[in-house]
Amino acid sequence: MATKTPFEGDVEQRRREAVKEKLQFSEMALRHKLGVFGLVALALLPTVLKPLELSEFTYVLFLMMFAMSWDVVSGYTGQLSFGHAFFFAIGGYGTSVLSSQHGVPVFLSIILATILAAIGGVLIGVPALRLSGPYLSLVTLIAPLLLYQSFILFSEGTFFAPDGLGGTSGLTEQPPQLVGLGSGAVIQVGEFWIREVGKYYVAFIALLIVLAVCYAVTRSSAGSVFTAIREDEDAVRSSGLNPAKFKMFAFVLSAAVGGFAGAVWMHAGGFPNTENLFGPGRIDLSVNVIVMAIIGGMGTIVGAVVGATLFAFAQVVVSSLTFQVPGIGIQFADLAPLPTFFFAMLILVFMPRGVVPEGIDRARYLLARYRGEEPPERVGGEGNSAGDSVIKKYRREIEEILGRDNK
Amino acid sequence: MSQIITALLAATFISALYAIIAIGFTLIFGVGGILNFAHGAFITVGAFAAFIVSSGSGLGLPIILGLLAATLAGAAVGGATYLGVIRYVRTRPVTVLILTLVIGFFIMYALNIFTDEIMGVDPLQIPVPPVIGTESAINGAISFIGPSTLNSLFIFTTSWVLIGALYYFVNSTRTGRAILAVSMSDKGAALVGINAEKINLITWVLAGAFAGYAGVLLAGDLGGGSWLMAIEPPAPLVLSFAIVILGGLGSIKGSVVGAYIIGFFETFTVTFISSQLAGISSLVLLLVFLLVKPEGLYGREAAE
Repeated sequence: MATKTPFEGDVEQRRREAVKEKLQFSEMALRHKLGVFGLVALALLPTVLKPLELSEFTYVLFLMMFAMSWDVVSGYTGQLSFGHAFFFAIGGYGTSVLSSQHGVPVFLSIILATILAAIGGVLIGVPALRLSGPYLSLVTLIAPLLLYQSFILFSEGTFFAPDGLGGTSGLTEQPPQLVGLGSGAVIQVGEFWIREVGKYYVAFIALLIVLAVCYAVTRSSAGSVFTAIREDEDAVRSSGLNPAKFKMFAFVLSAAVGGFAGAVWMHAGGFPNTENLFGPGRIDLSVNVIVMAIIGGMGTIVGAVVGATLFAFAQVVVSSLTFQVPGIGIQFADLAPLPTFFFAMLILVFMPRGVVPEGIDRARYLLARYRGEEPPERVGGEGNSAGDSVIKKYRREIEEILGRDNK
Repeated sequence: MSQIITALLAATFISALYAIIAIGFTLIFGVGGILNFAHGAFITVGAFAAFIVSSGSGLGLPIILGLLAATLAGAAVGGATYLGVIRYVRTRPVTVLILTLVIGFFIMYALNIFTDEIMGVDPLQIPVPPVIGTESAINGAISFIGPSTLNSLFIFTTSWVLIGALYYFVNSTRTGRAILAVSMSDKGAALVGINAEKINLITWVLAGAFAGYAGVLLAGDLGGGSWLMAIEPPAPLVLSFAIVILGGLGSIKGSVVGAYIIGFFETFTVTFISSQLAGISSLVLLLVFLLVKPEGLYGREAAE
C-alpha cells in the first residue's frame, strides 16, 4: 500500500512489490479469484472423474486451447478467421510426420511443428494485411480446404513425408506418446488409469503454457494495440504505430499457439487424421472453435476457456439423454450435434457479447446492490465491448465494398 | 483438336451450372450485405429433396417432380432461415456470418441424421439421377447425342433462361426495382415506402430456390449427392464464394462472368495438366486474384 511519488525509492523493488501485491490472492477482484478457483478445479479434476470420462475431458482442454488461439487474432484484432483448423492441422500433422516418419524426438518435433504453424500464420497474415472483411474471411476459409486437398495430393510418399500423408483418412500411425503403456512412449506407465491421468496432466500443462502466453500478450501494451486495431486502424496509424506489424504478430502468435496445441494433442492421445484436425465436415472444427470463443465472449481469452467448457458440457448432456424423441422414433442422443448447435444459435442471438462479459456485468451489478452502493452503469459504460467493435468494423468494411451511402 | 472441342463444351456446360450455384449467394450479399454461409446447405437441401421425391426408397416419382420439389424446398428453407433467425440479427454482420455457418451445419447434420437414422440410406452417397436420364431418351431422334450431353444441354438452357428471367425481374418489375433500391440504400428505400423486411425475405426465398434447383443439377451431374456435398469438391459453397468475389461482390453480371472464368479455368487445368488438380486449381486462381485485384471484375454495377 505504498503511496510514494513515482520517483522516490528503489524503482526496481517497488515494481516487484507492485507485482506481488497484484498476485496477493486476498486482494484480487472476485472474477480473478473465480479464475484461480477454476484453474485449481481443473487441476484437481482427475481425483473425481473416472478414467474414461477423464480422457474425454482431456479433449476439452485442447478445445480450450484452440478457442484461445482463435480469440487472440479474431477477438482482439477483429480479423475474423474462418479456418483456424489450418494451424491445428499443420501442428498436428507436422509433429506426427516429423516424429514417426523422420524419427525426431518428441519434444523437438513439437517445437518444430509449432514453428511450422507459425510459418503458416505468416502465409495467412500476408494476405490479411491487404484484404479486409469478407475477402479475408474467404482466404481463411479456403486455406484449410487447400491443405486438405494437398493431403490427398501427397497421400503417397514424398521427400518431406516418406510414408505419405494418408489422403482423406489421415495418417495410419499414431506418433510416439508422451505418456503411454508401450515402449515407444516417453514416460512409460503400467496401468490404463495412470496413462489417462498422465495424458490429462500433459494437456493441462500445455493449457497453462498457452494461457500464460495468451494472457501475457493480450494484457501487455501489444494487446492494447490489438484492441486499437479492432476499434480504428487509422487511429493506430496516426499515432505512429504500424498496424501491419501488429496484425502479423497476432496471426503468427495465434498460429503458433494453435499449432502447439494441435501438436501436443497428437502426443497425448490424439490421432493424426483429417476428422480430428478438421472435423468430419472439413470445416466444422474451425466453426466450432469460433462458436466456442463467441459463446464465452470475444476478446477476453478467458471467454474461450469458458465457451469450450460450455460447448463440451452441452454435448455431454445431449449424449446422456437417451429418451425417445416423440414423433420420429429415434433417441435424443442420436440427434447430436443438432441440440448443441441450437444452443449455440440461442446464445448468438440473445447474448451476442458472450457469457463471460455478460456475467461479469451482471455480477458487478448484483455485488454493488448487495453492498448497498450505487450500481455501476451497465452496457456501454466504458466503451465498446469486443463483440460490438468487431461487428462495427466488419459492417464498415462491407458497406465500403457495397458502396452504400447510408452511414 | 477433338479434345479441345470436348473440353470447350464441357467447360461451357459446367460454367452454366456454376452460374446457377453462385447467383443465390450474390443476391443475398448484394441486397442484404450478408455473406450467407448456409448457401451450401441450401444446395444440399435441394439434392436431398430430389432424392426423397424421386428415389425408390422415397416416393419414387419422376425426377422432374424432384426438381420442382427441390426448388420449393430450397425456397422454403431460405425463407425460414430469414424469418426464423436472420431477421432478428440483421444489423450485426459478424453474428449473422457465424449464425449462417452454424445454421448451415445444423441443416447438413439434420439431413445426415434424417437419411441415416430414418430412411436407412448412406448419407454420403444418395442417388440423384440426372434430370434427363437414359429412360427419357427413348426418343430415337435425339438418342444419338447421348443422354449425358442432353442433360448438359438442359442445364445450359435452363441456366440462361433463369438468369434472363432474374435480370428481367430485377430490372423491369416493381418488386425487382424495390430490390435494387434496398441494395443501394436501406434508408433511401425506406423513404419511398419500400418495406425492406419484405424485400429481404423475397431475396432469401429466391436465393434458396436457385440453390435448391442447383443442388439437383449438381448432384445429378456428379452421379449422386452427399450430406457433405457443400464442401466436397467442387465445393459449391466455396465455389460460389469464389465466383462472387471474382466477379465483384453483389453484381449479378459479375457472378455469371466469374462462373464462366472459374468453369473454363478448372476444366482446362484438369483436362490438360493433371486430373489431380480438381478442386484446387480454381482456389489457387482465386487466391492470386484476391491478392492482385481484390475488388473483383465488376465492383458494383449500381454505383458507377
